[in-house]
Amino acid sequence: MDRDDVNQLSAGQFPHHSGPPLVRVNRLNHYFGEGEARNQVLTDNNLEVMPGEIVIMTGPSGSGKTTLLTLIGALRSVQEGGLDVLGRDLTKLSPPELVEVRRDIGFIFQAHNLFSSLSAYQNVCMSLQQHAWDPSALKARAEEVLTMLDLGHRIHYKPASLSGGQKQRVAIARALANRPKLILADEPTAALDEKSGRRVVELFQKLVREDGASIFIVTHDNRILDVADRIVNMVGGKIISNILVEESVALCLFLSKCEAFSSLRPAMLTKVAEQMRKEVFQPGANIIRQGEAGDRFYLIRRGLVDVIVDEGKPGEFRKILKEGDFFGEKALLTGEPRSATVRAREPVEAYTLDKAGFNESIAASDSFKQQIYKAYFQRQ
Amino acid sequence: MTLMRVPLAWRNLVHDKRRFAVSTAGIALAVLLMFVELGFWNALLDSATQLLRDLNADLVIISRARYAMIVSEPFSVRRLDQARAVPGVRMAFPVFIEEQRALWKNSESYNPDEPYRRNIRVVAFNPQFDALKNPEIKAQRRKLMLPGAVLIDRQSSEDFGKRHRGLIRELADQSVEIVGCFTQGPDFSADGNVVASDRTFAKLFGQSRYPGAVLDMADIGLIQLEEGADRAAILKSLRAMLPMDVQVLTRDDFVAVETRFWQQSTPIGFIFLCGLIMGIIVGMVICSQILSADVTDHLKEYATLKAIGYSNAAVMSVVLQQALLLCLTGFVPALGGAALSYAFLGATTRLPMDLTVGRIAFVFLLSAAMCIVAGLLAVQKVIKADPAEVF
Repeated sequence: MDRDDVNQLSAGQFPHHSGPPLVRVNRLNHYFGEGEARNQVLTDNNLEVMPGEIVIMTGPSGSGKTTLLTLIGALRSVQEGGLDVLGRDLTKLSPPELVEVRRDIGFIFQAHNLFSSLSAYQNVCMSLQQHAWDPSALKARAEEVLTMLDLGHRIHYKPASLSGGQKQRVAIARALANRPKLILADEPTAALDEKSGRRVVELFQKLVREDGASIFIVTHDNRILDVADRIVNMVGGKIISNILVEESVALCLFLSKCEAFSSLRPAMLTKVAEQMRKEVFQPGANIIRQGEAGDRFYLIRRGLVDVIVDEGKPGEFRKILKEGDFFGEKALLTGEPRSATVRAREPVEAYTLDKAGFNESIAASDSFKQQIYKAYFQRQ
Repeated sequence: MTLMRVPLAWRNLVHDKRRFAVSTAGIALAVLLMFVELGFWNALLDSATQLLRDLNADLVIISRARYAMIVSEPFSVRRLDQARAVPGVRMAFPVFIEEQRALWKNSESYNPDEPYRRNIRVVAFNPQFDALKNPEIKAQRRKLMLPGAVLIDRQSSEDFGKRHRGLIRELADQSVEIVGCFTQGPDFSADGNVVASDRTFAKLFGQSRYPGAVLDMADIGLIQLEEGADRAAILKSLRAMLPMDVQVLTRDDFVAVETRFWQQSTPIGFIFLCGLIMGIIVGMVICSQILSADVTDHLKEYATLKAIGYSNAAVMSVVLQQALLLCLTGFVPALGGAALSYAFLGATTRLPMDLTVGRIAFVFLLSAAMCIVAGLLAVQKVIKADPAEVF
């Protein structure tokens, strides 16, 4: 096979970090209630979160976001499907072992959930003391993390004498104190004004850069969407879209530069991008062969390819396509066999759109279809 | 289990000052209730046995028919002569007790036509012998050698009138002279105590008490052993030798038998026991209510603790620590209150209200047990707290 790997666009590796996924959700189902009252709240969910990703999960209320979050946080037992978190298979763990997993996760709750009888410092220590027992280390880290959140002057205040934003920052300090590799946050900015909310997300970004942590945020707050590396959208207990933002933006940018898609509005562009799947080709591999039936549209994400017409025959024609170029649409539009062979010159990442997706995109607008034809004929 | 650097239990307890004060007061009240009920219970038993505990004897002989001090079941003093023959017995002598016919006249009563008379307990022995350990009686027993001389318990009921040296009073229609006082206090069967010599006793009750010489029948026989004698062996040989009409007991067993009688065979013992049990139950209910309300208020925090990785055991230990701390903070004021109420009740009733270390420890253990049980009841809620609910 020429295709080494077939992935959904979103499942691609985030370029800045590497390693196995921190969270791997595999065909996960979940139900509430029993017998007659049994109600499926999660249906066939798949998701991978790589180290260093900020994942924002959106969706209407009751779409199962929080249920999924609590499952990932080892706060519920898995009923059906697979769930690996921080390298541990949660489906195989006993309740006491699930408790241990939780210690390695930083939780930020919507209602800060601080201990009202404890000072900010002691609240942070409640989390810290599970790992560090040495009092001086405990003190140093608690003060460090509170100072990092600009709470240095409020260390010994109790929650009742802190503002909403300060309380939420104490809660965040508590979650970050142990330098967890995975942070789960439910509406962390809901109770904050825009400025405080911005500070919190900037802090998340800093944490990702410095510690390589992954952060999983459930939110309705679209002011913070811009920090997301991956945006997951859930409806009715199912993940309906899962987008690596940077890749998606890059794709849209490429698509919009193509004459064919240049008239599409951004919303339509992202929809097209979302339907594309990533494929990886090794040097020398034929991506398409002249004379074959065409079933895909290709966009080159990385690497160079040779386009060869009538290879080895008189009148052989060669051309090099690079990042951002596309090919393969003619066979889709005309139904004719491939008019050229395309071969990878170096490792190539390409995004493909299948015939159905392509036709759907084109059918969205007659004028669009006309433009494609026009563009195609211009290139002849 | 995770140990805690942060004293969460203590912080939770004292966070709300008003609630802490109310909780502490509640527990203190429950503990004080136990102290007072236990005080009454002990006063009953202590007062009933204080004369017996005061007996200066290694072994005692009593009538086989005697099951408690409230009944009059004398035995022949010949048994004491027999006992004296046993090797190792240094001394054996009788103690005489009369209550039924010992009417003491209160000469200060306001109604001169009908002078106030009531029963007093007369304890008599040969003043040559050291029959009672009470130091005041010991010191004054020589004075009893005068005919008609008595020592009176200054703690006797006010109804008996004045009590000081030199007063002439009427006892069993005969004149007696108060030659001194001692301190003992009334109990549930007698309101006052008088100590006299055996001769005075014979003079007072000689005509009416028993056919034959009154001093031939003793109520309690005291046996003192020689230094280093084998008490168990002598007890055994006395039992073997003496006829079946008497029983031989150690002094401590004698006290134990009397205690058991009051505990088990009298309605008053049962009522006071009920009071003690009620005190514990009321305390447990108060304690449970306080802890349960506290746990309910902190349920979300406990669920959060579980969510951030604390085990059930760790969260339970927070609640139990809270229960024990509450027990401690409630116990201290309760102990102060108990000391005051014991002093007050002791002064008012003249019953022995002794706050001994053993009794303080006993009430403390009861309080701790009460708080732990209440804590365990409250812990059920914590176990059910769902960490997934905190999101």
